[in-house]
Amino acid sequence: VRSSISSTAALVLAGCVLSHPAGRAQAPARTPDGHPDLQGVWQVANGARYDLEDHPARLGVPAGRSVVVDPPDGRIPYQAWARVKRKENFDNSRTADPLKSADPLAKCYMPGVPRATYLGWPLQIFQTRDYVTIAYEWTHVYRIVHVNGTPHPEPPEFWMGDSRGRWEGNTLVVDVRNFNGRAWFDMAGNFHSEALHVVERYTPLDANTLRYEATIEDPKVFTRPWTIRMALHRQPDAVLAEYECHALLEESGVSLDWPRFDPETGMPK
Amino acid sequence: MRVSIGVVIGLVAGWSVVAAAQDRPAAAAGAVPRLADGKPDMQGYWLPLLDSSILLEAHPAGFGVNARDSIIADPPDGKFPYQPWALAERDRRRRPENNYEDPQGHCFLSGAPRQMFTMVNTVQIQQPPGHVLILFEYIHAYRTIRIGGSHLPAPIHTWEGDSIARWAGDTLVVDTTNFNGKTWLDMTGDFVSDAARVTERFTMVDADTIEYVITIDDAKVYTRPWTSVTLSMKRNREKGYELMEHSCHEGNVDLEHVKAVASPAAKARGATRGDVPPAEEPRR
Repeated sequence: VRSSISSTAALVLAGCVLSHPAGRAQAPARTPDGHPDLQGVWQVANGARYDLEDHPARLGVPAGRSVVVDPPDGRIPYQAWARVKRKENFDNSRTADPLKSADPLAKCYMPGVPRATYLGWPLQIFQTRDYVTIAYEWTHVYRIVHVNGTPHPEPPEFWMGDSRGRWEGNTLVVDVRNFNGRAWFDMAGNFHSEALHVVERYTPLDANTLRYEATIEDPKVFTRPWTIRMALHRQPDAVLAEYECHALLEESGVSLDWPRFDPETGMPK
Repeated sequence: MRVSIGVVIGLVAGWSVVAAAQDRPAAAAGAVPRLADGKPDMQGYWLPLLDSSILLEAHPAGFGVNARDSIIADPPDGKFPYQPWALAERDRRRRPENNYEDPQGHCFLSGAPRQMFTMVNTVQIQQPPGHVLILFEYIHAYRTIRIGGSHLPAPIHTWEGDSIARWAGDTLVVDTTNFNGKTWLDMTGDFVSDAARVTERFTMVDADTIEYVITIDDAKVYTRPWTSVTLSMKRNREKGYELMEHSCHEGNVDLEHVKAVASPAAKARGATRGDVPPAEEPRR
């Protein structure tokens, strides 16, 4: 939400009229189909990638405020066993060797949703009549949000889930299901199961700001749904480049031929 | 018929023969659909350009490999116009013990045009304002082609290349540069350098057909530019078809296998990948 503090002098000097009063979104630009135009390159400027919750500084990581807006205490409503698991995840992800880290991102696996949004790399939104397509610079992940009324398919499950969207006023609401349950939320071990259900809301606040909300539901891991909220900032004139994570990992000396499946169980490692 | 997704071995190895329905009834396709601005509307799902990208020069059939004429129309001999060092390098890459080097085996982006030759499954084209998007199921790659504007600065090199397009009549002409010099053109070691300039021409000739011609100039690798024959993509009209997620790197077990083949012990046993057609003797 935009601050209401604006310098009157600046406005007078600029000879313009404050186009959107405090706390109210201005009318967004529209696509030819009449929907809000969310297109462009966007990026977060926060520390959610490190930890969605309030966290102190640690080496290389700035302290940060929770982006969890519901529950009001800013804490993820884990079931008791899952809060223990989250700490184990964190402890098992602080390894020098990326192949020993429990964090799937250390091996450059797909980030999942909503983590892809706030990794800190740019993303680009494209819109056509039937699709809102989100291309992420991070390891060329993309999502096709179907806004043509089609339902989620039956399984299979995906790292990035299956995204179906609709417009509610100025907000793009995206329902994401069919997750494989292997992705995490951040670098602090926050996690979910394959029962994850995410509802994202993209709302333009002004020409250069999107409000991003994600409500997260997973009855296997949490006691209740919870919601994160943050701003996405437009990157004017930006062009999406490439971050081929696993190629860079190999360049750093890590061979990519690690076993992907447990030979005993056949399950992914 | 969908090729199952998530099955990495076959896709990475590229041996899977795509069940493209080439023998559909020859119903007359409609006129080229148009966007509001009058440009051809290429949006939708498209079947692969090629049934494989194992070897782009003429080759006989082998196990899992269809025989095919060269995709190169110019030079007329159908051969990549390699400089001598580059031909030697290509032949080095062709040796079975060097298969491990193929970037696709690592699930790296293929780069234009190999990305176009390795659709494996159907691709989706979208035309949002100012762009043409090509979305691949394979390795969840995408190309964001900008209409107009300028390329990224040269130091920003990429696997996929940086693509700028313009319309020449009804033909979308895509100019791609900013390569990192690591991409191959097929599974048998043909390649370009970071100096490559790739020009692709997409011409929609009816509602169900996009013709595709590629020219590559690369002063470091070739003696002259080469140009492909006219290839074509056919529309996938399967009802309800959608792209799915192909998690290549996450489930990549191919590298282990290829590395095993390349090991000294494996070579002592005479192991090779076996189903790569033998490279023809250089005739140049």
